Amino acid sequence: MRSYECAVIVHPAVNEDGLRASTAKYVDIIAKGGGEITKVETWGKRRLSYEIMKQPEGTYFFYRFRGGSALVDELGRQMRIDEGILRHLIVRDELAEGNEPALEPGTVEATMRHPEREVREEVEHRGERY
Amino acid sequence: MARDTKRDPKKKGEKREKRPMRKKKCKFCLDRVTHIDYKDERRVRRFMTDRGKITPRRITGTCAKHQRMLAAAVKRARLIALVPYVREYYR
Repeated sequence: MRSYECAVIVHPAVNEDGLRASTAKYVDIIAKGGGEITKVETWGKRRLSYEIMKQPEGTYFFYRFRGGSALVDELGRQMRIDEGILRHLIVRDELAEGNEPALEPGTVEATMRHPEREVREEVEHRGERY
Repeated sequence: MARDTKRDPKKKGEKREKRPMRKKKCKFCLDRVTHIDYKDERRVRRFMTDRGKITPRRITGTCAKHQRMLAAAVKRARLIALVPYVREYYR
């Protein structure tokens, strides 16, 4: 098992219920694929640097999880099919120490985070200067 | 800059004047950075030109190791639209 981070840009037309459903769906896929979710965060709706599928903005989500390669493939496949997702990126989470507690799949909700503050906290956690 | 003296025809054959340049230090080394996060838009943008290119090491003074980390971070940040591939309208 390895730690991964998955960034997702959801279509701006998806409403709040839709966003919650989307989170639940992918949390479920991760759990069913034998993965453990350690964190789900959102940055809310943000302007994109360039248009993706004619959309100037999108809602950012970040899933952090542990799992095998089959799960990563499956998650990527599902996200490519999903019309509500403009773009996704799954990368190895090099910052994870591997001992973060796993969340209970049924209760996971995305927590709202301020992009800059989150990154800053992480940088400072490593003892670097921001 | 040094480039201009090189192209000066009068100076051809002569020894080029070299302006002593202060050695730049890698900013990431100074901050003891071990990992450059692609989500760190502010930091990534600082090492990009306003056209969206990655600034070369010779300009920023970044060391090879950190430049590699930076390039990877920029490319990831581009993919999720945090930073542009190119700026569309350039005056």
